[in-house]
Amino acid sequence: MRRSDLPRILPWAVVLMIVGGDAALCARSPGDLDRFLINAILALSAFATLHARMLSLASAGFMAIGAYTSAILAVKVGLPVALSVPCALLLCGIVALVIGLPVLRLTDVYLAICTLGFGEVVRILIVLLPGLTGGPTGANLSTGFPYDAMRKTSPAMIALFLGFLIYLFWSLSRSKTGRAFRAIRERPEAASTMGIDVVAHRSMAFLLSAIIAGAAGAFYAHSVGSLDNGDFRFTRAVDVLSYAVVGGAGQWFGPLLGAGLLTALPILLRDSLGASIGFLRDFAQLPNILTGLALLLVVVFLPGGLVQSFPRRTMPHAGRGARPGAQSGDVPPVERAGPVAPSAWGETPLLAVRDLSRVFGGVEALRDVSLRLEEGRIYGLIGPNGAGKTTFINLVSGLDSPSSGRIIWQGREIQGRPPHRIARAGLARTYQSMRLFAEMSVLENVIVGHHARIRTNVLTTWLRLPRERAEEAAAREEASRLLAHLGLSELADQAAGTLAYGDQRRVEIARALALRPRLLLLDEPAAGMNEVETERLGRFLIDLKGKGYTLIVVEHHMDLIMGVCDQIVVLNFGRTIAEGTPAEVAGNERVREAYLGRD
Amino acid sequence: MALLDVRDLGVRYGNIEAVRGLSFSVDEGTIVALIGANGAGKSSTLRALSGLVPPSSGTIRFAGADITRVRADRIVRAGLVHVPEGRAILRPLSVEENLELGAWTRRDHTLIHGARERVYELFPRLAERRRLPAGSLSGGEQQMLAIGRALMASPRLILLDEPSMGLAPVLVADVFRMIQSIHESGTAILLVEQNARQAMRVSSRTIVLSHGRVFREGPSGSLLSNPLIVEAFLGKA
Amino acid sequence: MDLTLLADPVFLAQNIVDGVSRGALYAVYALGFTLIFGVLDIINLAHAATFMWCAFAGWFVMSQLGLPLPAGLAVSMLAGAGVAALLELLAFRPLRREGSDRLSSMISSIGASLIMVSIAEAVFGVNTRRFPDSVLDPRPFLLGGSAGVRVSRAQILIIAAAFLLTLALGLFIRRTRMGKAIRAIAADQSASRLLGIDVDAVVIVTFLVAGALAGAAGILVGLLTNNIVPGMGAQIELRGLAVVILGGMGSIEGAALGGLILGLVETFAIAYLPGGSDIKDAIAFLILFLILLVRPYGILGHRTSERA
Repeated sequence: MRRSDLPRILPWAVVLMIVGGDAALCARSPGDLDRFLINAILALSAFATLHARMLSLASAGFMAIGAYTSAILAVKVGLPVALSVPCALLLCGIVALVIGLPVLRLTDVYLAICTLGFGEVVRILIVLLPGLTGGPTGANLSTGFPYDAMRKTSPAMIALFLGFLIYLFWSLSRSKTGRAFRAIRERPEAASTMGIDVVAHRSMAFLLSAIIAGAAGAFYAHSVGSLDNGDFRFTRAVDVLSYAVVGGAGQWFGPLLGAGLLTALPILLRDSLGASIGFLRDFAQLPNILTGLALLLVVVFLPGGLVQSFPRRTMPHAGRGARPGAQSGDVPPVERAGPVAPSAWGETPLLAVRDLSRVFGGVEALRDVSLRLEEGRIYGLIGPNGAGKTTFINLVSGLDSPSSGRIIWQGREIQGRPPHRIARAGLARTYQSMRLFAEMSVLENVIVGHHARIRTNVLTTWLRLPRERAEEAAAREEASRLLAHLGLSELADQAAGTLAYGDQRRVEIARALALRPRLLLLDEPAAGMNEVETERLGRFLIDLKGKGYTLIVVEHHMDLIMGVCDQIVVLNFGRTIAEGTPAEVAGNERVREAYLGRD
Repeated sequence: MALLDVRDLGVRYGNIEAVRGLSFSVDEGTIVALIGANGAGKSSTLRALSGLVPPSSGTIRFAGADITRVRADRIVRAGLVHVPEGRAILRPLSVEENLELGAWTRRDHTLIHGARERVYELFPRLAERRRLPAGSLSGGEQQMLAIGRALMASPRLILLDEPSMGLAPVLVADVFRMIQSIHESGTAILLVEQNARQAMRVSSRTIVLSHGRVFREGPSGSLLSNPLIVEAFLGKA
Repeated sequence: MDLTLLADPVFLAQNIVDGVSRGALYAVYALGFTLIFGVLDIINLAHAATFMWCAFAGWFVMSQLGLPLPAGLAVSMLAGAGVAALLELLAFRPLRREGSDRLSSMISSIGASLIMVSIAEAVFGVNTRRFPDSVLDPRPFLLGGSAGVRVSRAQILIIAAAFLLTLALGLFIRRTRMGKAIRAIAADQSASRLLGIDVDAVVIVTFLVAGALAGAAGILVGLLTNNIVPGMGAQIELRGLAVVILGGMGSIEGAALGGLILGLVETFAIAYLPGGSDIKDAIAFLILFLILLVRPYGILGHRTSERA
């Protein structure tokens, strides 16, 4: 990971320069101030999507929709701004929902290209409806949009809106939803197996981004007083993107910094150096060149943007509620929703797998695997490389769907269900190649696990109602207790990515436990651990069993498996080749062959 | 002087030390087996030898030259070829193209042509499928292709990483026969295998890795009957 | 819709000719773009800026130095190769070292493009340039009498060039030693290293070829449109995207086919649909949209896991 090694003071110096420069810039004229505020609003629109790991270039399109809609409603229909702007936002929201649904299924670059195309389609529609929008000549006096009728906003209004947005994002970032976004941004798959509905969150982000961009457009129309089709070309989307990239999309103030820098820098350079370097004064392309340079430099040297060079934001009130070094913290007993419903064949296994198969383009990763797992026992899943163990876990946890077969959890079929649903139903997993949220603190990582059980939504989050705060505090308390039991209390506030390998493994387990699962799927939990740590892990797993948890452990550390498991299942070439107690399996000739090779 | 001489090799991935203080050597024309449980550091060792990952410490000497920090493509020119885990064949390219690329470092067309024909003699199934895309071959055929491709470079030492992985038992026997015939042609082989028994049978010396270090080392015959080896794999049952 | 138009065979033939030549332009542009994507998984949005600079290079050589068309074409392709190689060294290679993802390289290309276009604007200003008439006889051929189909020499050249370049590129990739190495690194860079292939060098060659193709496209577009400006990359860039997505990212034949289809559809839309010339820009984007939503790997592309 690339961490900037700039000295601590430099980031703050840069911020000061940006703030000072923009203040000077805005003081020059209300027009400049307006433009800066609108750029800031656009920057937040880009943040909304980048924050959820989506590169959307649709801001220009939504800005155009917002601008023209509000202009038309205000000038042609005669609505006051207090109505025309919200209507414009509503339209943006509707369009976002309509195109969002199919578009959001695309991945990274394809999403970017598709949204780029969207912006152009909007522009073309504007040209095609000259009666409404003024067509290619734009919305101005000659097409029925007189300047005085258009000019409706003051810098104060825009600043107020910006302030409101800042409050919204600040509040969001401290809430469960903000945490969910940060998790999605870092590791979308791990977030989904932690109970976070990634698709819903992304849709929300896209919607928010569209509405904010629309607002920026509306303000643009009413502050500039006329519209030109060229105002919303895809170069605008590129500018907005660069605010977010250069400033950094890790924190909400990142894009603001980026906007501030890229808006002020060219003008300041021109004013200060233009005196001595003559051509600089008339150098109209300076802003673009600076933006281009900034993008190149940031992407190579500072991929997290300017915010990356700031000291990591620590959790507020971290430590409060966590009894330091307490040994009395104990793993809570497993949460039972009720007795398991009897299955079709009369028994009551917690998890049943019937003829489960998974074929990848001709390769049989799993073939006709059938198992019955009883509650309260530890099952080991072993087998040579490529035997299908991780495929099995991916199928059970919902990251993958089987080609055939069924997975029955507590009497209900769950194969092919989305991972966040499965996580909420009581199945938690860890990953072989660890997927911690590296930039979040250890404590926060664990709190993500509680996400599925805190009952809040976006609106109440932002209002910060007492109930939400209470639930958040309770989640923090529980997370602290979990950390204490795993001996991780001192590390609670550290960025998870900086921990030693063995500690990271334990954090992953703590995070999975925070879901209060009934079944834990552990994919190589002892990988990279030394003997002492492995033994401690073994004792911990037995402890969990004592509290009523059911475990499936995939492992290569034979000492651990043999010492801890009640039953072992052996896979090879995707099929089960043996099943039984540790002693039975160790003595099984087929198992020995699978591992050591045939004579 | 040994063909390959490894001293005190260390390989790290971020925080994890996959290999530490590993020292061993391979003599010209011999087969040495490198076995051990998963995660013991076998593949990491081979990747450091072939230049795919830079070692964090130690030295590697091949045919007298220091290749510790040399780039992967240069190491191939020196005569050390790595057939990685999972074969790494170029799936969209045809069997014949894969073989030809195996001889990328060689310039003499007559010799390359000759090498290719020899590979087809050794593996008639590849000859039958020479124009088909390599991705359409079965697991066993892909392994043949990977080995044939390595032979095209006329190497002095081949690093074979888990050649029997994912293959049905009957094909595994074929693989070990291939290894034997390569040995007979004079090329040295460093063989990493999960199939420890067969590996020990076909090699003259065996090195057992555990947790990134040498656990046991010696003539394959004597290690084959050593109960400690079973323990290293299946634990204390 | 004017139904009489449908019955006019000369009009139809004219549109076919125009459509094919327009499509050929898109195809040549898309060839270089899809090569980079297919081999290196990079969306190079600076391909358009490269293309634009090559057009200017050609203009300079032919208009200011008075050299003939072959020289202009050669200089343009060389310039393109050079610029592309520079792009690889400055904008993409540092990212490859870091193991960055596709988005980062796309953003990097956007940054490079901004710089390149801005410098062009500063140097050349907003006035359009055109190649001198001496370069290519502008009188068209008339097929079927004076009221027949008009085919300009430029159009013939463009169609021939597109055909030859597609063929040549295909042969290069399939039959030559370097072409095989390029396909090797496209399949698996790490495995290629283990075969002794110097991946960095092969990457440079890939960019050289892609850049040369951008250069060819620059000259050809200049010949047809007679409108060389710093902003000429923007329109073709988005169409180029539509073409490669239509034809399948990374497929050479797909780029050619996609370009042809887009060119024909656009031309026919202008000719036969009322208000067609207004929506012609939208056609490319509509195609983009639809393909991405229905079949993201395009007509001739392969299914890889592109869905979220």
